[in-house]
Amino acid sequence: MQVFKAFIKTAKKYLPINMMYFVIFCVIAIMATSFNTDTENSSFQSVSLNIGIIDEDNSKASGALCDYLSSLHTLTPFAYDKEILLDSLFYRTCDYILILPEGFETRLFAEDSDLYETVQIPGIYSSAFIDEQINSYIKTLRLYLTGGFLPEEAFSHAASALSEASDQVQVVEFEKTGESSMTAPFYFYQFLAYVLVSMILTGLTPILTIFWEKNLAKRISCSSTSLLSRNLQIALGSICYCLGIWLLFIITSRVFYGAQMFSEKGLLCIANSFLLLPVGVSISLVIGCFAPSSNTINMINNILTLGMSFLCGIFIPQQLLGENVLTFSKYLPLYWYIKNNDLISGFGGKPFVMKEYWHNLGILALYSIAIFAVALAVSKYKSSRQKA
Amino acid sequence: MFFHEFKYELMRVLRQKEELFWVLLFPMILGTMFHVAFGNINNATENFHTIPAAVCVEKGTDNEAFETVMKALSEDSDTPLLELTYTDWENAMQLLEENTVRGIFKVGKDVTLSCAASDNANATTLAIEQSILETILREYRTNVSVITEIAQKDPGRLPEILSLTETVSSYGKELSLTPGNMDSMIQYYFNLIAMACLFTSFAGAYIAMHHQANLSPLGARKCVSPNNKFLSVGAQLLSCLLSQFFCVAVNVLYLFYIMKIDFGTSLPLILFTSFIGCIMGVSFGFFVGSIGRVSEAAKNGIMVSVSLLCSFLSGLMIGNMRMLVESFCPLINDINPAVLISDSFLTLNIYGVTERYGTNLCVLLLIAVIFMAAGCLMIRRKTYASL
Repeated sequence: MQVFKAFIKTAKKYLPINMMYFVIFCVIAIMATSFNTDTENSSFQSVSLNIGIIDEDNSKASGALCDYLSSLHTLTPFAYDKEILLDSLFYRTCDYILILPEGFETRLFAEDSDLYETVQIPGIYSSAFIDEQINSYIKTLRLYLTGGFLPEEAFSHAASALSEASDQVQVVEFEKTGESSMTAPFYFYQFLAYVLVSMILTGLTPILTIFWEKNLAKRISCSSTSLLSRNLQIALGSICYCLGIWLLFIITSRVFYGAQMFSEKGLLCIANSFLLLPVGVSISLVIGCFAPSSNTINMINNILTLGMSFLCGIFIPQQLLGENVLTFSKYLPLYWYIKNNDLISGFGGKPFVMKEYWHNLGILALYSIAIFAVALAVSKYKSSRQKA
Repeated sequence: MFFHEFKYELMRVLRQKEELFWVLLFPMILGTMFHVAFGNINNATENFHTIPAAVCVEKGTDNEAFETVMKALSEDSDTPLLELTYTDWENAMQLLEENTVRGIFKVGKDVTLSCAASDNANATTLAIEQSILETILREYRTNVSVITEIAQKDPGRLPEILSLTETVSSYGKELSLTPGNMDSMIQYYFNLIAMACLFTSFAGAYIAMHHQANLSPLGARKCVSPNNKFLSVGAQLLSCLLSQFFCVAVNVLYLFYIMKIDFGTSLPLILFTSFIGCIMGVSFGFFVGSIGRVSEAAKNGIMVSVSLLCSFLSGLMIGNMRMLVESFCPLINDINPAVLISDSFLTLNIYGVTERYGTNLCVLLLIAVIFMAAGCLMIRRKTYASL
């Protein structure tokens, strides 16, 4: 088992970098778990946004409008400073800036238009939503004023009438939307695709490259170890290496998410992630065939893993990617992995169908076989050229 | 001799494929990925689209007031608020399940709204769409209760009230404070260029390391040559700065012309800011490269870590990170080169050439001068008893 021992010795060299990947991944997983709690509500709740307010009128009318808005959203007082306003909007720490200019109350009673000013990102949902709410409030207020109510009465009536009318929304729960309990593990297994493939490419490819290095390969081939034994030992080393990393992640997911990982859906997630191993190994074999330097491996690793992560829906959910991008992504293996993950977690809004799961899993397996075949063909071509 | 050193440094940069990859190719690839991934994200999550809704009118019900409101909201402008489908309840539920409509208005004796529980990736968009539908219902129901209240109190005012309810009014005026690009995704490209500028540090470090006899054989050869060290280092740094700026400029041009990214300002100003960023990057690398007997790998590790950490804090990976840091420790943003570079781009985009832009560039140059001076102090007048 000389070759296997040498394999393990070399693998230890790449332990620190792989540990770094592992620790960073765990930190991200913990963050994702704490940020993405289950948000589904059985009763309807209107969206609450951040509104920046500049009240230059300081009147009862402007105060009443602010009170009404603060019952629905988070209001932050701002000074009229162009840089602060635009910075807040650009970074979306504030969704909308409302300016109530001097004379707001007078114009409101005089039935003027252009009562207030806004600074907003044009053409986005949050702007349209808050516009609608403010206009709705002012319209109601004007109805009361036109109806002969005194201003103080109109302010209190408008706010209470609008809040009383808000309990008429029924939330319908369809079968497919009731299955989103896998939110946190879903994020774990989504990012796992990037980390696992990265770790295999970073760790396994340089080891394989060492064994395929011309001089070392010749030295081993003239030793008493047979070619079959050498290859089997390298294969055993690769399997141990990949299984070790995979098991580490599975145990981590068990620690993070408890018994949830051994539920039916948890096991489906685990089975899906298992097929990432042959994909990673086969890609690693193809790269290794060209025996590049460690720097080149690093470059190829970055391009492949980041590229697939962006295109296949790891960093950005598949539902948010354009149709053209998805058409292209179908030719990449990780697309099918993410599709399955979305299917299991119910994140894509589709009901879980076991047949589709096996279909996606089958395509993932076929990709591994296809890439493996490419690796064999390249290896064969290279060895025949060397003999020639 | 100056031009000789200048020329050979240029040739070296062209042959250092790894350095070229990180400064020239990697940002380009990452920029392309950003473009592909973010290309549809605003359209899918933020940009307003007419909200599809279903209306089910119960048999024998004639609610003319609600019909009028619905008609006004669905035929109002180029982008009306609602797109209505009049259908029966079963079909409407089917449409709701398929997410073809965001809500169902059931018009009977009373009007109610039914929405699906939101749990998918578009949760925020869907939730806002549902909230807009709820606001419309809320306004309608309020109007009904106000009319009833006023009809009881003062029936003579009813015609005036009814005419007011039938109009769709906007009482606000939108101020346009900037002609710049307010798309928050643009910050990722700003931070990408900032990262590329910081990656020029690898080239700066190479020069420092190869001028020290105890760090490289080339440094030893240079030390025994009668060549003026200041002239040699100066020529190489200038050559390195220009070559690295060329790489960053290619990236900027790629994003500007090929990816069609709207930087919200003129190209020369973007390039000028990138040039100052490159000065900062090269001087930082020169400083790290000058640090005593630390191995090349460790120095590269320091540069990668610092560059990526600065870029992370600036928002390359998480968009709001800069504002988060600003709320906890604004001093970090004041001296973080990645923030200073990306904020300069942001300032150009939104406000144009302002005092803030000038301050950012001055701080960048000041940091660059400090690094350069410290680097020079570390590599000057070195003598070796034995190597």
